[in-house]
Amino acid sequence: MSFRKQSPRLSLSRWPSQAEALRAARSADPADPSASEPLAGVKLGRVSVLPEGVAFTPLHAGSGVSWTVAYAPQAVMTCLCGHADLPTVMGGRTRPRFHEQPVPGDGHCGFYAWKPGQQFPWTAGTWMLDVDLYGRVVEHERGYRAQKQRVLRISPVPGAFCGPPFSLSYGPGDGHVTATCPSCPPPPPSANRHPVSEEELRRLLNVEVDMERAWRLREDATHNS
Amino acid sequence: MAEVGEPIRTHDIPDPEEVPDELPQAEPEAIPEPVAVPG
Repeated sequence: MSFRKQSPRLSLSRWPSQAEALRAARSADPADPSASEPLAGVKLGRVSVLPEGVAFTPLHAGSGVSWTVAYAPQAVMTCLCGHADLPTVMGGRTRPRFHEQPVPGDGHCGFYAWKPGQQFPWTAGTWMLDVDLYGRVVEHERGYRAQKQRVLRISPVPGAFCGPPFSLSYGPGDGHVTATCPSCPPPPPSANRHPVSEEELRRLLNVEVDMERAWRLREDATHNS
Repeated sequence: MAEVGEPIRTHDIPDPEEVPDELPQAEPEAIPEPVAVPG
């Protein structure tokens, strides 16, 4: 799992919630390195309808992994570091080991999230996830890498010119659930897209679904920039 | 991961306590037995 590189221009993302920022600042107080409360983070991911059910899938799967990486709303990390080949060292190829929890400076496994207030690039067609991180959590300058994650709230990231009300659907190919607005052109019948009910999605994932939160945040950021 | 910057520190955070969906219901008050009134 990894993140897109940050854009050098001003990001469209601004985190307006003072309460969440305060909570994050409290829980990640440098004077208290052993936080006792889960750390709040935000990330982009995908909501996917898979043969096994509805799950979250990362924007980028780990290298060298041929299967779909998916995780439930509440999950413990699965380390994929051992599947990645390291460059040849002294004529021999070595493989990194698997980890039970994130280790600073060793491997890249774990659930990644940005710290609240951190600017990050929007990607239309994805979902914004508000998460709690716990277990072993490696705190980085701009984000976290955690052993355990719980998704609390999700919101679809619509296209740049889309506005509410949004409707959800998924296609038979990748199964990604995406949002469209009334102005979006209808998909061709050959796309075989299946509508998704907001209530059903909320029931299946047992997380809060806010259809307009990501859109509102992006609109606010656009107007304030 | 360059995107999140360099590691700063490590936290070991216990699993959050499960919050029940519904608050526990108070025990219903005991209904007094009917008292026979001498007629």
